[in-house]
Amino acid sequence: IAEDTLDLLQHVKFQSSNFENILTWDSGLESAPDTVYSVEYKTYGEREWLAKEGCQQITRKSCNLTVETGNVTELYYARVTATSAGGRSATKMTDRFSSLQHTTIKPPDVTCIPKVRSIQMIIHPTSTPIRTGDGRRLTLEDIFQDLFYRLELHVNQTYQMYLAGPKKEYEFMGLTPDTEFLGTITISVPTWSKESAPYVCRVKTLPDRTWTY
Amino acid sequence: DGVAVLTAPQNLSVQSTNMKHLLTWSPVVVPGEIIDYFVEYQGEYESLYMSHIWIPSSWCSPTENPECDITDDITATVLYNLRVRATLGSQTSAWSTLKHPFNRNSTILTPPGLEVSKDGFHLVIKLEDLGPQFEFLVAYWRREPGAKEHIKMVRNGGVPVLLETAEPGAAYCVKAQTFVKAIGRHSAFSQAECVKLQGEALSL
Amino acid sequence: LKTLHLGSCVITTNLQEMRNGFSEIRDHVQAEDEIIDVRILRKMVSLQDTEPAGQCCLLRHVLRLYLDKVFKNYQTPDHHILRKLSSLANSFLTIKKDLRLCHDRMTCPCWEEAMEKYSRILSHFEELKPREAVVKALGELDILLRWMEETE
Repeated sequence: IAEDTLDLLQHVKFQSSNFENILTWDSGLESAPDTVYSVEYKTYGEREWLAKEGCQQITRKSCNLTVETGNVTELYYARVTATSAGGRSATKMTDRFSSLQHTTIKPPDVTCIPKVRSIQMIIHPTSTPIRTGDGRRLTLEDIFQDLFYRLELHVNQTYQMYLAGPKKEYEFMGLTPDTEFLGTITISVPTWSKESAPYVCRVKTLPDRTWTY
Repeated sequence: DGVAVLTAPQNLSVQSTNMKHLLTWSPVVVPGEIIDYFVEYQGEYESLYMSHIWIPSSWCSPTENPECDITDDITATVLYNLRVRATLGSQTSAWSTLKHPFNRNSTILTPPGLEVSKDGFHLVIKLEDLGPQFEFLVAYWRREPGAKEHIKMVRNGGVPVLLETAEPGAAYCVKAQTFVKAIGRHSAFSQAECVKLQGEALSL
Repeated sequence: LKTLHLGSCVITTNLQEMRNGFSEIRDHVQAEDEIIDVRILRKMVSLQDTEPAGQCCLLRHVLRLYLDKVFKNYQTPDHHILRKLSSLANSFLTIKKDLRLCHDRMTCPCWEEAMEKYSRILSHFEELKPREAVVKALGELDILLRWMEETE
């Protein structure tokens, strides 16, 4: 009989980042090292619990459920059963999980290119593990219609230059040559009140050699 | 329920400016005693569908001051009923209810504070920080006959932002107004502020 | 603000404000729903997969269900949850008033598909005990908000 006891298992939850959905948990206060764990998952509204292959009778305390919870419009539950060597067991379930709601956004991948009087910033698309019917990987831009980028260039700690939009290439113009600037680029999804940590680049504009003979 | 011997608070009214809503009333005075007030509210939904339900305000159940910041309670653009009562130990006054229900779309929107500065050829502005519900529409133009007016939306205040990389020696003027999406209204424009950029205008 | 195009009925609403409000109470309300084998707002009756012309009618009926039978029947001693639900209910009331205007202008027709979908939603709701139905419907507010989000 499965006992729901704190001393074998706790904190069963999803950790999701860019739609990589990992189930994690902690052993209980008095868990023995030889305790084994088995994972099941289900779609909210359906009857069956499905066993996750590769996460049966395991000793580690995480399990990748990205594929199994890959439909962004669905809601899911997962549960872990811990069984101690002595045969005692405990089962704990997650809260209802929605990857759209819960996933956090990683900083974007950006190339910062300094020139004499400007700095160009090229943002590379962020792919996710989620695939379309024909196997194509979706990007964050595919999934979030109102995703946009927020670019700031900090000018000698006094003010910022600010650009924003959904496109991938930007250029801060009218800069002083041979000067260091700090650029920060974040991904923002207003509908879901999501904002990534910033990608930071520190670049120096090139010296102006036009007047040297 | 305590016996209602305390006089009920009088002269309830709401002052609302830039989406900050303050409910005030005349204090109930019992010499040498501290009076507690309880504020409750009811949205249009409650008054239509469950009129017996009143919700304790977020910050003033209780409070000792004859005023209450109800901004966090007024979160939809509908009519809200508000009521207050006073208590002193086990003594409780009757409820006093705001005569006219309050809707946040009646808030007074003031022109935003605006600072214009320059750094080399950069025209920099800093707008008053009025909170997340406010966006700013900024209009700027070169101070010369027939100059074209440019418009820019600025999402948040409180942070100096580059408006334009300007031409040496030119003078620019800037004005701004707020826009509140939640109620679909904007303020009047602020006074225009003008600055002259350094350097001589390049004659071609 | 989000503009919802429901056939020829066009309204604006603050979905983000509602979603932020719901996210503060979601885990609590969903944890009260222990019947996780059943879902009221199912995919096959979703708003966004309904004929555009019938979307206004379906949404109007679903909002009426929430306003008449869900918000008012959810009891809680927790004032924070009470305030968040009040905010959501009053926002839903605002949307329903806008849809009422569309109805008055004959841009909110009720045809067979929309009525058939609504009757299924209602039967899923009524199959449950009253308290269970109210808790489950509240826990599915994120589904309803996403339905509205995805109407184009």
